Amino acid sequence: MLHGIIRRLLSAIPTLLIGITLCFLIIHLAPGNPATRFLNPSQSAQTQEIIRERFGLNQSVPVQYGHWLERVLFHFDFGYSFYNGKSCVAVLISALKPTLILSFWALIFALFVGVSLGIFTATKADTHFDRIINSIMMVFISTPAFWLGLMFIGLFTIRLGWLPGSHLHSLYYDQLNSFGQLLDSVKHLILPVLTLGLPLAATLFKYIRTGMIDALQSDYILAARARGIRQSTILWKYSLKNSLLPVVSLLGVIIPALLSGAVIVEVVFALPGVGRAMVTAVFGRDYPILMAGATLAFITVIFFNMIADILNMILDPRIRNGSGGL
Amino acid sequence: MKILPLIALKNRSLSSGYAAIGFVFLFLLLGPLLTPINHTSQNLSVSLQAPSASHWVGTDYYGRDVFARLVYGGRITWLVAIAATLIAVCIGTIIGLFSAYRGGWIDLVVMRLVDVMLAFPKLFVVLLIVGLGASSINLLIWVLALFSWMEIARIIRSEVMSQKNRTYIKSARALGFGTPRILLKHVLPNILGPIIVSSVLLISTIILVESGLSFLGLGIQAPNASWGSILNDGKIDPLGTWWLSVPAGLLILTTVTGFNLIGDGLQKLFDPKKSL
Repeated sequence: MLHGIIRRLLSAIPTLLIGITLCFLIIHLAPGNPATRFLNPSQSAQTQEIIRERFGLNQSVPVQYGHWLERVLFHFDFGYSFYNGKSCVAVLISALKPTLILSFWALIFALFVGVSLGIFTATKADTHFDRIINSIMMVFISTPAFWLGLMFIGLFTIRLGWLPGSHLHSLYYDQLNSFGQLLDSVKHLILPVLTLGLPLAATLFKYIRTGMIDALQSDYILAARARGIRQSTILWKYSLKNSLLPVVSLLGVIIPALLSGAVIVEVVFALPGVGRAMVTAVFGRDYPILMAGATLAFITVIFFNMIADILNMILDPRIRNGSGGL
Repeated sequence: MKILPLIALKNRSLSSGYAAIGFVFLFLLLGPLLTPINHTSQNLSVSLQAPSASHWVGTDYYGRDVFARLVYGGRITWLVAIAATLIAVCIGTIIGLFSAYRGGWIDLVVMRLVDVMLAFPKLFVVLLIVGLGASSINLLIWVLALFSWMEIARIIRSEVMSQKNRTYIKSARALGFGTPRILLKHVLPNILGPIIVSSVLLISTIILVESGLSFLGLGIQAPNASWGSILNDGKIDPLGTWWLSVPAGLLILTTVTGFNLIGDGLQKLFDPKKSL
């Protein structure tokens, strides 16, 4: 298994290199070049030259690529924001906390709701209950997150006044005691977490339900039933274990969806996260931040894909023993 | 592949999906006949009016007729989604067919590229590119297509792999047919089912991404409309100005649910074992 894990770790290196290169190429192949996009034509030629030199835009594309690769790989340096001159990594790290909090709780919510409903409806397959839950989940899969967020804000914030619809804390957060601060944070998180988590829960539900129905109809479950093993043992010990395996592989799908979803949810709920920083950078034509954001998001996905593959190796003896998957 | 399953109405997912898409399609098709108002003409004296006899779905901040904007915005949303899907399907099919049939190092390199591109969170990359170029419908279509072909390529590759060693392919090779002829005339017709299913599901994904971009103000630019940009107009008080936020949201939801149901229904018909 160790051999397999090392091989998987090594295979991530070329993937990372290709991805980082693609991020660079996207900037340089997109219409117009970075220098003309950034420089203000009304500035004097001398000012334009100073800016070009400062940001390395006066060098040839291969030289710029070499510098970019060296800085990213060896110094984890993505350059400086055009807008405020701060390091891109510093800008994105300062925006990371809200994104991590939002994504973490949305993932926990999606796993809890998706897995529990998936298992429960699988045991009641083809009943009215199953059909109703299935239809509701199909609607959530198809609901645009920003619309769901807007409807939540309209109803729970503006109409009913039950929950706050923007920011991570209230203005008077610092004056609250620790319990009050916790309650305030939880209240602020409920709507964004539901907005990001519900479509994700619906996707997970679909996979878990199908996996459980397949598992419950398979021969080994029939054999277990024939041996008189209790239904609850069959459900929790045999079927669930096998239907959870695809969920681990799904990490590769869930993480990009979470990151993309977070962009929209952060804008709707005015959360100062990475997604909102990216959108602000688009409007400010701050391409070093955009390039850094896209590259870091890519590296995050590659990292979680690797974790998912290694977890699969540990959990699935067929992959562990190198006898191939399904 | 038989064409018959495409119109099989006994399948519940398929018939509900056709009903949803049929409804939205008729709305987009017949909408201009129902309203003579231009969707871009402004009239500030009737700004933010609730639905009335003269403006069936009310007006927006600039006094533009929301019904007309829903119709023309929907047409643009559909156009972008269908055009991007067609391009993505063409790219994905060609790459998937070629990669699987040639195998060896070509397949290895192509599949690595697919893995890399799948690892980019789509909205991040689209934001990056749209942020760099001047926003236009053409750019949007191409960007969405260029970051959506990978799933199709992967599905086509695995389907071709499973067909590659079948007797009919071996016979075609023994008869001396060239690779392009075998791929296009023999392999392709046998894998049309999965291609159609993934294309239909891709349309709904692209509609969600395009609406999201337009909602952020980065997709379709004013004075043109898209369902996402209409929703953006209603974001200050989503239920107070419900005619801006509810109908556009419901139209996106109906379209995406419709395409998802059709995709699921076709999947059940073509390959019941793989259906979710």
